[in-house]
Amino acid sequence: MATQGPDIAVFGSTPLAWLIAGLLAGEHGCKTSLVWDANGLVTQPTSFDLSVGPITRPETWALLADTVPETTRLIGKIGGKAALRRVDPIFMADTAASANALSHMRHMASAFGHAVEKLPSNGGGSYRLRDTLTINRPVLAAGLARWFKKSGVRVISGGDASIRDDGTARIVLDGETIEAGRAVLADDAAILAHLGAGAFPFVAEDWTGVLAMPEGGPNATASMFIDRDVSMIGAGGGLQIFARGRPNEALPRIGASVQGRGVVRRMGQSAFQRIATCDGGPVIGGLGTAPFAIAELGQIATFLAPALARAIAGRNEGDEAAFMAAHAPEGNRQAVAEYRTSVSREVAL
Amino acid sequence: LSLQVNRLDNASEHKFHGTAIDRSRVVRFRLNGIPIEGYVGDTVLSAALACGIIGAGIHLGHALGLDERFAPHVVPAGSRSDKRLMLPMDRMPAIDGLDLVTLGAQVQVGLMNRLTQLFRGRVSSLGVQIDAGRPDPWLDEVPERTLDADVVIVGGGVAGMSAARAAALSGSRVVLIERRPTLGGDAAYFGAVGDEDKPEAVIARQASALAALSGVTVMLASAAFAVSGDVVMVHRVTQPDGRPVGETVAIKAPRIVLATGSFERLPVFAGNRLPGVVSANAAFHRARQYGIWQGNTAAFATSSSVPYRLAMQASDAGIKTARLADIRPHPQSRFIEFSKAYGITMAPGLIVESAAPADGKHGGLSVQMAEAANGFHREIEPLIVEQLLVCGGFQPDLTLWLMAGGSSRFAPSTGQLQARGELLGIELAGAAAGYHTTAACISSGGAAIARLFKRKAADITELHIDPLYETPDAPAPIGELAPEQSAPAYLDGGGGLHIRAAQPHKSRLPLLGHKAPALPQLAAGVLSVGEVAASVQLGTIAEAMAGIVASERGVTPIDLVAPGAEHTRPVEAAPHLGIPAYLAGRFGPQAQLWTIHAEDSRAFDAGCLIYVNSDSIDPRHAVGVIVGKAPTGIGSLALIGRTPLASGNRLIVKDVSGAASVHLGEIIPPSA
Repeated sequence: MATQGPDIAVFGSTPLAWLIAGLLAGEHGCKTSLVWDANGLVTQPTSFDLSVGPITRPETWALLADTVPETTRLIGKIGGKAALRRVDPIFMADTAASANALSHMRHMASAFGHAVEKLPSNGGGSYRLRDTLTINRPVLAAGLARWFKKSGVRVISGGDASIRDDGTARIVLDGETIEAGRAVLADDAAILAHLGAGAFPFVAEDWTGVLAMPEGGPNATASMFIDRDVSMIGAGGGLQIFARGRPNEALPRIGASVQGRGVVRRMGQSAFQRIATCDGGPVIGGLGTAPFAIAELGQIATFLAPALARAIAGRNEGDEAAFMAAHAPEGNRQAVAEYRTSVSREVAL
Repeated sequence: LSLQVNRLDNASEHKFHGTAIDRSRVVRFRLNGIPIEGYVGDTVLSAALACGIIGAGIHLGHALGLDERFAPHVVPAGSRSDKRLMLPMDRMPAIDGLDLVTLGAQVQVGLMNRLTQLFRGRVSSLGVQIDAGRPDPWLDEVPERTLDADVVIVGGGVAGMSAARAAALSGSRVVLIERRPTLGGDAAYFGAVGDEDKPEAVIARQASALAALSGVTVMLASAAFAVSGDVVMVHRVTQPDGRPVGETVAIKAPRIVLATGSFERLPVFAGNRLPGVVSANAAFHRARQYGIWQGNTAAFATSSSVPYRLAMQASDAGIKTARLADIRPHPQSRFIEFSKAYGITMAPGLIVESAAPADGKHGGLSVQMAEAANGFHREIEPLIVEQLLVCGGFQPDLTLWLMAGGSSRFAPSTGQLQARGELLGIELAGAAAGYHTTAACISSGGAAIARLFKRKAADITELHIDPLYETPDAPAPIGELAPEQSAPAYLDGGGGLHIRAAQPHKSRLPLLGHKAPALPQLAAGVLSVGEVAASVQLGTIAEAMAGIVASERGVTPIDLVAPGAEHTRPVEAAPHLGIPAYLAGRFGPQAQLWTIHAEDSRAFDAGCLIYVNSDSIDPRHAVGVIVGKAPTGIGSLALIGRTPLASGNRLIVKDVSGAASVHLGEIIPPSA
């Protein structure tokens, strides 16, 4: 028997999906379900969250300046203080092109009030941003049940979900059919599962995740190696490391990136795909009637959750509305491109 | 008086005289200062076991048994820092005159004395303070040699030997890697099914056939510890000048067969790795190859029919089986019928709840069993024995398969993780591929080679005996939770040392209808296939996720820095004038490149923002940005969108030291 279900079905298993679902239900009065893979909590993560990134566009920094405090309050409410951790991430470049991009990031971050420190580097560029935030996902997850209940989110794990071309969704769970008027694909796994890797403007990329244990003890630092497509953060007593490419391609770059930390033992490894865009710019929205998708925002995505929830609910105003319009898949994609080594290129004026 | 208290006699008629040893040639050496006596053909481990050293040391305050899947590494005293001389006890030959010490800290004297007392006043433990997650010393070593082959076969059992023969007959250069010092694998333990030839005869024929073939290199006492792409990493123990040394070899081959067999699952109960608790398979190999058996009384706890055969063979050697407990309520097997004829006390429907060191000067184990059929649970009188042999069924050894990128899934009916999917250039064979009988394992070796060479593979016929006559193995038994002071219940043998949680995991996300993360992301560390399977049975890993968790956690804990040595600096693109993509559209469609010059001749970093006046601070109101040095070498190059502009116009550049007045120089056309 089919039942009219929520207005919105949010697909995703990452903090961004959790927050969007809760905000849509709790703040915007949308009848919302979260369709997630709860088993993802026992497998290795495929990303981590950071309140800053190697961003060169002022609009993105401006939006972050608005949404980070909002997100911080929200996460504190859900998971308590321990759900957030302060971290001083280091961004490193090996090549002049990447060092140049980081230099742009440095001045932009400074202009938006961040303390940025230039570090000595061997030919490239290296910067440390002070006092940024990362999310302790297991702690946040522990507070979700209460928050979802209070917000009125229906949580669906398992079942058979399908998304139609008109952007609506159907979920069949234990004999019940749930219809949702609008689907939101809030993470890469959801996009891969429901749109596929080839749906414009998305492309799938192979990535490797490694859990590692430095013998010298844990180090809470976050490091982003721009040219090597390697990022890592101290978490859970060890290091979570992510690198573009399949394991045999990624491990040498990971090895180079943990040099100087003593013996760093691999304790777990995963291979997965992430969604990128063919033009290197973030995507927020859907093409025509396609489901609303969020991709290529990188580690900052979760800290934009309040604005993204407003976008889905149609409640953005002013600069925020302009930001969302600019990042729509049918927008001027060139005007939102960020620096990416694999797609970095010169463009003619 | 011989020190070899656990060596069986070779006077009476039985099968456990020791095929690998030469009893006419005695060797004597020292291990942690303890005098050890053995025979030529012994390994350091078998000689130590023969001399009553059955404990590795202390873990979590309790004694931990010494066995083939977990033994401290040894090194000659005085060469503690030489990694080439750090060798595994089960692959290092016993050589006269050695003076060896184990790696790792020694247990404090008080605990050591307690251990010694527990086991009949003799030194019975190596006394090592065991830490979890201790990696093999050779994992971080750069390979000393690289070999090229057409086919590498990991596992020298009947399937691996069959694959080696098939590959060699087609003209390939073959390397066959076997961890044990002899070929044959576990076929002799399982025995023949139906009308099959005796495995011992099959193994002898296969070994002879291989020896007659050119192009086959057999590496014994060699452990393959990693597979990456087309490279198999192997640690070998060799004796180039009579002295055992380790060598790490990278073998590169476009075709790889993983005939890694299966290992016996460890039933989960408190005290399941105390000294004296031994895998039935390990006990069989100790007895058959080295003539070793601990004590004169034994109990068995099994979920498979295979150990019944061992009980009969042990009986032939004068060992009394006090009880053979089988978790299956109504097991049927030809072995069981024979065991009845042997007068072995069989107890179907029994499970081991716990094992603990027995009180009293005679030592041994006190084994608590319980009736556990159809939800019924009743403990029975504890049993005192010298050895408890356990078998929790068999798990295909998929470690290398998973490491190579292969997949697996959990089969609830058997409690096994089974391989699924395909890998380019890699095939499974034998028990690792899920085959049971000797004949099927042999066929699967040839079939694996055929598939690797894109030839038609022969059909593999597995002999299935009706369950009425041969009851299938049950999943590994899981005992009740024991009191906290009990010895730990380990999830598996080997070096992972993961133990059963004291309390069942409570859901932190009850409203989500799902258990909370049972595996802390990093604290769980590396998990063996057996540990994953046990975790599924215990409910801490969902069945559907078992394959993924096994793939993610079943890695070799190598030092990541080692492969990084190959990384070269990213290639620098040739510099040319242009606008990076991330600046596209930033300052409008009319943006142009200008040279600019500061009043104080300072140079600006890329990214410094340019404003119309010094009051502006919002980057969104910037009219331009520095993109680099001016091509002329004087001043900076800026992308500026404000129009109209002319040479000499003044603007403000903000850098980290503050605002600076600049004037425009000339327009620079972007390069193509």
